[in-house]
Amino acid sequence: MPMLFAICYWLEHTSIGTAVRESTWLFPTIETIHIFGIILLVGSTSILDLRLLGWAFREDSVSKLARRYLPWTWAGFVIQVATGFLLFSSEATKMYDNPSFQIKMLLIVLAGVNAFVFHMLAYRKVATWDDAPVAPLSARCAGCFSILLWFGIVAAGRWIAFI
Amino acid sequence: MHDFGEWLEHISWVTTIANTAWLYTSISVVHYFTLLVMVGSIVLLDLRVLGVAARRRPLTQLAEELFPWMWTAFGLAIFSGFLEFTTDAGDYLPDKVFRVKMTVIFLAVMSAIVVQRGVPKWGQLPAIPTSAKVIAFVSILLWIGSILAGVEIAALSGLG
Repeated sequence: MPMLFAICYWLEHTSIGTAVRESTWLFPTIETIHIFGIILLVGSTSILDLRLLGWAFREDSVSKLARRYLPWTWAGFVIQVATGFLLFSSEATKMYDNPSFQIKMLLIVLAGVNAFVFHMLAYRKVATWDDAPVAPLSARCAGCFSILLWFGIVAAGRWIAFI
Repeated sequence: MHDFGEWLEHISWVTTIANTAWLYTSISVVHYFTLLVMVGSIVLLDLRVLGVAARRRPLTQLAEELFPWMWTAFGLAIFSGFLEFTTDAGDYLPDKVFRVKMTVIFLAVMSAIVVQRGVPKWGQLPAIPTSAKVIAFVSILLWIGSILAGVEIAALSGLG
Protein backbone atom coordinates (compact mmCIF):
# COMPACT_ATOMS: atom_id res chain seq x y z
CA MET A 1 0.00 0.00 0.00
CA PRO A 2 1.54 3.37 -0.96
CA MET A 3 2.80 5.42 1.99
CA LEU A 4 0.54 8.40 1.30
CA PHE A 5 -2.55 6.21 1.11
CA ALA A 6 -1.55 4.51 4.36
CA ILE A 7 -1.33 7.91 6.06
CA CYS A 8 -4.77 8.83 4.70
CA TYR A 9 -6.19 5.55 5.96
CA TRP A 10 -4.69 6.09 9.40
CA LEU A 11 -5.99 9.69 9.50
CA GLU A 12 -9.50 8.57 8.63
CA HIS A 13 -9.49 6.18 11.56
CA THR A 14 -8.28 8.56 14.21
CA SER A 15 -10.92 9.56 16.73
CA ILE A 16 -11.14 13.07 15.19
CA GLY A 17 -11.52 11.77 11.64
CA THR A 18 -14.11 9.29 12.78
CA ALA A 19 -15.98 11.84 14.88
CA VAL A 20 -16.28 14.32 12.00
CA ARG A 21 -17.37 11.58 9.61
CA GLU A 22 -19.98 10.00 11.84
CA SER A 23 -21.58 13.10 13.33
CA THR A 24 -24.55 14.55 11.47
CA TRP A 25 -23.77 18.09 12.56
CA LEU A 26 -19.97 18.26 12.94
CA PHE A 27 -19.03 18.00 9.25
CA PRO A 28 -21.63 20.59 8.09
CA THR A 29 -20.64 22.98 10.88
CA ILE A 30 -16.93 22.74 10.02
CA GLU A 31 -17.87 23.08 6.36
CA THR A 32 -19.83 26.27 7.13
CA ILE A 33 -16.80 27.77 8.91
CA HIS A 34 -14.70 26.71 5.89
CA ILE A 35 -17.11 28.65 3.63
CA PHE A 36 -16.81 31.80 5.74
CA GLY A 37 -13.04 31.28 5.68
CA ILE A 38 -13.23 31.41 1.88
CA ILE A 39 -14.96 34.80 2.08
CA LEU A 40 -12.22 36.08 4.39
CA LEU A 41 -9.26 34.64 2.48
CA VAL A 42 -10.39 35.11 -1.13
CA GLY A 43 -12.12 38.41 -0.33
CA SER A 44 -8.94 39.95 1.06
CA THR A 45 -6.62 38.59 -1.67
CA SER A 46 -9.07 39.78 -4.35
CA ILE A 47 -8.97 43.35 -3.01
CA LEU A 48 -5.19 43.40 -3.31
CA ASP A 49 -5.26 41.63 -6.68
CA LEU A 50 -7.76 44.14 -8.09
CA ARG A 51 -5.47 46.97 -6.93
CA LEU A 52 -2.46 45.32 -8.60
CA LEU A 53 -4.47 44.97 -11.80
CA GLY A 54 -5.44 48.65 -11.50
CA TRP A 55 -9.15 47.79 -11.69
CA ALA A 56 -10.19 49.10 -8.25
CA PHE A 57 -9.00 50.89 -5.10
CA ARG A 58 -6.59 53.00 -7.11
CA GLU A 59 -6.84 55.89 -4.65
CA ASP A 60 -4.98 53.75 -2.08
CA SER A 61 -1.31 52.90 -2.29
CA VAL A 62 -0.49 49.22 -2.80
CA SER A 63 1.54 48.94 0.41
CA LYS A 64 -1.28 50.51 2.45
CA LEU A 65 -3.79 47.97 1.11
CA ALA A 66 -1.31 45.16 1.66
CA ARG A 67 -0.72 46.21 5.28
CA ARG A 68 -4.45 46.47 5.88
CA TYR A 69 -5.65 43.29 4.19
CA LEU A 70 -2.82 40.72 4.24
CA PRO A 71 -3.30 40.04 7.96
CA TRP A 72 -6.86 38.99 7.12
CA THR A 73 -5.52 36.80 4.32
CA TRP A 74 -3.26 35.03 6.78
CA ALA A 75 -6.06 34.69 9.33
CA GLY A 76 -8.31 33.24 6.62
CA PHE A 77 -5.57 30.88 5.50
CA VAL A 78 -5.09 29.54 9.02
CA ILE A 79 -8.85 28.97 9.35
CA GLN A 80 -8.92 27.19 5.98
CA VAL A 81 -6.00 24.90 6.78
CA ALA A 82 -7.50 24.00 10.17
CA THR A 83 -11.06 23.38 8.97
CA GLY A 84 -9.84 21.88 5.71
CA PHE A 85 -7.65 19.42 7.58
CA LEU A 86 -10.59 18.34 9.76
CA LEU A 87 -12.83 17.86 6.73
CA PHE A 88 -10.04 16.00 4.93
CA SER A 89 -9.34 13.69 7.84
CA SER A 90 -12.96 12.50 7.85
CA GLU A 91 -12.68 11.11 4.30
CA ALA A 92 -8.96 11.13 3.55
CA THR A 93 -8.89 7.97 1.40
CA LYS A 94 -11.71 9.31 -0.77
CA MET A 95 -9.82 12.58 -1.23
CA TYR A 96 -6.68 10.59 -2.10
CA ASP A 97 -8.47 9.36 -5.23
CA ASN A 98 -10.39 12.53 -6.00
CA PRO A 99 -8.92 14.43 -8.98
CA SER A 100 -10.73 17.65 -8.04
CA PHE A 101 -9.15 17.57 -4.58
CA GLN A 102 -5.72 16.91 -6.10
CA ILE A 103 -6.13 19.83 -8.51
CA LYS A 104 -7.24 22.05 -5.63
CA MET A 105 -4.11 21.20 -3.62
CA LEU A 106 -1.89 21.83 -6.65
CA LEU A 107 -3.55 25.21 -7.28
CA ILE A 108 -3.01 26.18 -3.63
CA VAL A 109 0.69 25.41 -3.99
CA LEU A 110 0.80 27.50 -7.18
CA ALA A 111 -0.99 30.37 -5.43
CA GLY A 112 1.67 30.24 -2.72
CA VAL A 113 4.49 30.23 -5.29
CA ASN A 114 2.87 33.17 -7.10
CA ALA A 115 2.63 35.16 -3.86
CA PHE A 116 6.23 34.29 -2.92
CA VAL A 117 7.60 35.32 -6.33
CA PHE A 118 5.61 38.58 -6.20
CA HIS A 119 6.97 39.44 -2.75
CA MET A 120 10.55 38.59 -3.75
CA LEU A 121 10.50 40.53 -7.02
CA ALA A 122 8.04 43.35 -7.76
CA TYR A 123 7.01 44.03 -4.16
CA ARG A 124 10.63 44.55 -3.06
CA LYS A 125 10.61 47.79 -5.07
CA VAL A 126 7.04 48.79 -4.24
CA ALA A 127 8.13 52.22 -3.03
CA THR A 128 8.80 53.16 -6.67
CA TRP A 129 5.32 52.22 -7.91
CA ASP A 130 3.25 52.34 -4.73
CA ASP A 131 0.93 55.17 -5.74
CA ALA A 132 0.90 54.54 -9.49
CA PRO A 133 -2.57 53.61 -10.70
CA VAL A 134 -0.90 51.19 -13.11
CA ALA A 135 1.51 48.76 -11.48
CA PRO A 136 4.54 47.19 -13.24
CA LEU A 137 3.79 44.27 -15.57
CA SER A 138 5.07 41.60 -13.19
CA ALA A 139 2.82 42.95 -10.42
CA ARG A 140 -0.19 42.97 -12.74
CA CYS A 141 0.59 39.38 -13.75
CA ALA A 142 0.86 38.36 -10.11
CA GLY A 143 -2.55 39.92 -9.43
CA CYS A 144 -4.08 38.21 -12.45
CA PHE A 145 -2.65 34.79 -11.61
CA SER A 146 -3.71 35.20 -8.01
CA ILE A 147 -7.34 35.89 -8.86
CA LEU A 148 -7.48 33.03 -11.38
CA LEU A 149 -5.80 30.62 -8.97
CA TRP A 150 -7.98 31.46 -5.96
CA PHE A 151 -11.19 31.33 -8.00
CA GLY A 152 -9.97 28.03 -9.43
CA ILE A 153 -9.31 26.75 -5.91
CA VAL A 154 -12.87 27.64 -4.84
CA ALA A 155 -14.36 26.01 -7.95
CA ALA A 156 -12.23 22.86 -7.50
CA GLY A 157 -13.31 22.74 -3.87
CA ARG A 158 -16.96 22.76 -4.85
CA TRP A 159 -16.35 20.22 -7.58
CA ILE A 160 -14.97 17.70 -5.07
CA ALA A 161 -18.47 16.69 -3.99
CA PHE A 162 -19.48 15.80 -7.52
CA ILE A 163 -16.77 13.26 -8.26
CA MET B 1 -47.51 19.94 -4.87
CA HIS B 2 -45.81 16.65 -5.56
CA ASP B 3 -47.25 16.76 -9.08
CA PHE B 4 -45.87 20.28 -9.55
CA GLY B 5 -42.42 19.08 -8.53
CA GLU B 6 -42.61 16.15 -10.90
CA TRP B 7 -43.80 18.42 -13.69
CA LEU B 8 -40.83 20.78 -13.15
CA GLU B 9 -38.38 17.88 -13.20
CA HIS B 10 -39.66 16.70 -16.58
CA ILE B 11 -39.33 19.97 -18.44
CA SER B 12 -36.88 19.34 -21.30
CA TRP B 13 -34.13 21.80 -20.32
CA VAL B 14 -34.37 20.68 -16.71
CA THR B 15 -33.71 17.04 -17.63
CA THR B 16 -30.83 18.22 -19.83
CA ILE B 17 -29.22 19.94 -16.83
CA ALA B 18 -29.93 16.97 -14.58
CA ASN B 19 -28.36 14.54 -17.04
CA THR B 20 -25.33 16.63 -18.02
CA ALA B 21 -22.97 16.30 -15.07
CA TRP B 22 -20.58 19.12 -15.94
CA LEU B 23 -23.51 21.51 -16.56
CA TYR B 24 -25.12 20.78 -13.22
CA THR B 25 -21.79 21.06 -11.42
CA SER B 26 -21.00 24.36 -13.17
CA ILE B 27 -24.36 25.79 -12.08
CA SER B 28 -23.55 24.63 -8.57
CA VAL B 29 -20.16 26.38 -8.70
CA VAL B 30 -21.85 29.59 -9.91
CA HIS B 31 -24.34 29.28 -7.04
CA TYR B 32 -21.40 28.96 -4.69
CA PHE B 33 -19.59 32.07 -5.97
CA THR B 34 -22.74 34.19 -5.89
CA LEU B 35 -23.55 33.23 -2.31
CA LEU B 36 -19.96 34.01 -1.27
CA VAL B 37 -20.31 37.56 -2.69
CA MET B 38 -23.81 38.03 -1.31
CA VAL B 39 -23.10 36.81 2.23
CA GLY B 40 -19.68 38.49 2.26
CA SER B 41 -21.20 41.88 1.38
CA ILE B 42 -24.03 41.88 3.88
CA VAL B 43 -22.00 40.37 6.73
CA LEU B 44 -19.25 42.95 6.19
CA LEU B 45 -21.85 45.73 6.35
CA ASP B 46 -23.43 44.19 9.47
CA LEU B 47 -19.98 44.06 11.08
CA ARG B 48 -19.57 47.77 10.22
CA VAL B 49 -22.91 48.53 11.91
CA LEU B 50 -21.63 46.61 14.92
CA GLY B 51 -18.51 48.78 14.80
CA VAL B 52 -16.25 45.77 14.48
CA ALA B 53 -14.99 46.11 10.91
CA ALA B 54 -14.16 48.79 8.30
CA ARG B 55 -14.42 51.52 10.92
CA ARG B 56 -12.53 54.00 8.76
CA ARG B 57 -15.31 53.96 6.15
CA PRO B 58 -18.47 55.97 6.75
CA LEU B 59 -21.42 53.63 7.16
CA THR B 60 -23.57 55.15 4.42
CA GLN B 61 -20.71 55.12 1.92
CA LEU B 62 -19.87 51.48 2.62
CA ALA B 63 -23.54 50.54 2.28
CA GLU B 64 -23.79 52.36 -1.04
CA GLU B 65 -20.80 50.37 -2.31
CA LEU B 66 -21.86 46.98 -1.00
CA PHE B 67 -25.61 46.72 -1.58
CA PRO B 68 -25.46 46.65 -5.41
CA TRP B 69 -23.05 43.71 -5.16
CA MET B 70 -25.22 42.02 -2.55
CA TRP B 71 -28.48 42.24 -4.47
CA THR B 72 -26.93 41.35 -7.84
CA ALA B 73 -25.28 38.31 -6.29
CA PHE B 74 -28.59 37.48 -4.59
CA GLY B 75 -30.42 37.53 -7.93
CA LEU B 76 -27.83 35.22 -9.46
CA ALA B 77 -27.90 32.97 -6.39
CA ILE B 78 -31.69 32.65 -6.68
CA PHE B 79 -31.42 31.94 -10.40
CA SER B 80 -28.68 29.30 -10.11
CA GLY B 81 -30.33 27.83 -7.02
CA PHE B 82 -33.62 27.56 -8.85
CA LEU B 83 -31.94 25.66 -11.69
CA GLU B 84 -30.45 23.21 -9.19
CA PHE B 85 -33.84 22.92 -7.48
CA THR B 86 -35.76 22.10 -10.64
CA THR B 87 -33.61 19.07 -11.40
CA ASP B 88 -34.94 17.35 -8.26
CA ALA B 89 -37.98 19.47 -7.43
CA GLY B 90 -40.14 16.50 -6.49
CA ASP B 91 -37.67 15.55 -3.73
CA TYR B 92 -36.77 19.10 -2.62
CA LEU B 93 -40.30 20.44 -2.13
CA PRO B 94 -41.35 18.18 0.76
CA ASP B 95 -37.84 18.06 2.30
CA LYS B 96 -37.73 19.55 5.82
CA VAL B 97 -34.11 20.75 5.59
CA PHE B 98 -34.80 22.47 2.27
CA ARG B 99 -37.84 24.19 3.74
CA VAL B 100 -35.81 25.36 6.72
CA LYS B 101 -33.18 26.77 4.34
CA MET B 102 -35.82 28.69 2.35
CA THR B 103 -37.34 30.05 5.57
CA VAL B 104 -34.00 31.16 6.98
CA ILE B 105 -33.04 32.82 3.68
CA PHE B 106 -36.36 34.63 3.61
CA LEU B 107 -35.76 35.94 7.14
CA ALA B 108 -32.15 36.84 6.29
CA VAL B 109 -33.27 38.83 3.24
CA MET B 110 -35.87 40.63 5.37
CA SER B 111 -33.14 41.56 7.85
CA ALA B 112 -30.96 42.83 4.97
CA ILE B 113 -33.83 45.08 3.83
CA VAL B 114 -34.24 46.39 7.37
CA VAL B 115 -30.50 47.16 7.49
CA GLN B 116 -30.60 48.83 4.07
CA ARG B 117 -33.49 51.06 5.15
CA GLY B 118 -31.91 51.80 8.51
CA VAL B 119 -28.42 52.76 7.31
CA PRO B 120 -29.31 56.25 5.98
CA LYS B 121 -30.79 57.12 9.40
CA TRP B 122 -28.10 55.42 11.48
CA GLY B 123 -25.27 56.98 9.47
CA GLN B 124 -26.51 60.46 10.30
CA LEU B 125 -26.63 59.97 14.08
CA PRO B 126 -23.56 60.71 16.24
CA ALA B 127 -23.47 57.06 17.26
CA ILE B 128 -25.06 53.95 15.78
CA PRO B 129 -28.03 53.02 18.02
CA THR B 130 -28.09 49.79 19.99
CA SER B 131 -31.25 48.69 18.18
CA ALA B 132 -29.31 48.87 14.91
CA LYS B 133 -26.54 46.71 16.34
CA VAL B 134 -29.09 44.13 17.49
CA ILE B 135 -30.55 44.00 13.97
CA ALA B 136 -27.06 43.66 12.46
CA PHE B 137 -26.18 40.85 14.86
CA VAL B 138 -29.41 38.97 14.11
CA SER B 139 -28.73 39.47 10.40
CA ILE B 140 -25.28 37.86 10.72
CA LEU B 141 -26.77 34.90 12.59
CA LEU B 142 -29.42 34.42 9.91
CA TRP B 143 -26.85 34.42 7.09
CA ILE B 144 -24.67 31.94 8.96
CA GLY B 145 -27.85 29.88 9.41
CA SER B 146 -28.68 30.03 5.71
CA ILE B 147 -25.28 28.59 4.76
CA LEU B 148 -25.49 25.96 7.48
CA ALA B 149 -28.96 24.97 6.25
CA GLY B 150 -27.61 24.80 2.70
CA VAL B 151 -24.80 22.38 3.57
CA GLU B 152 -27.14 20.36 5.80
CA ILE B 153 -29.37 19.54 2.83
CA ALA B 154 -26.64 17.38 1.33
CA ALA B 155 -25.61 16.00 4.72
CA LEU B 156 -29.07 15.08 6.03
CA SER B 157 -31.19 14.56 2.93
CA GLY B 158 -28.60 13.46 0.40
CA LEU B 159 -29.96 15.93 -2.13
CA GLY B 160 -27.93 18.17 -4.45
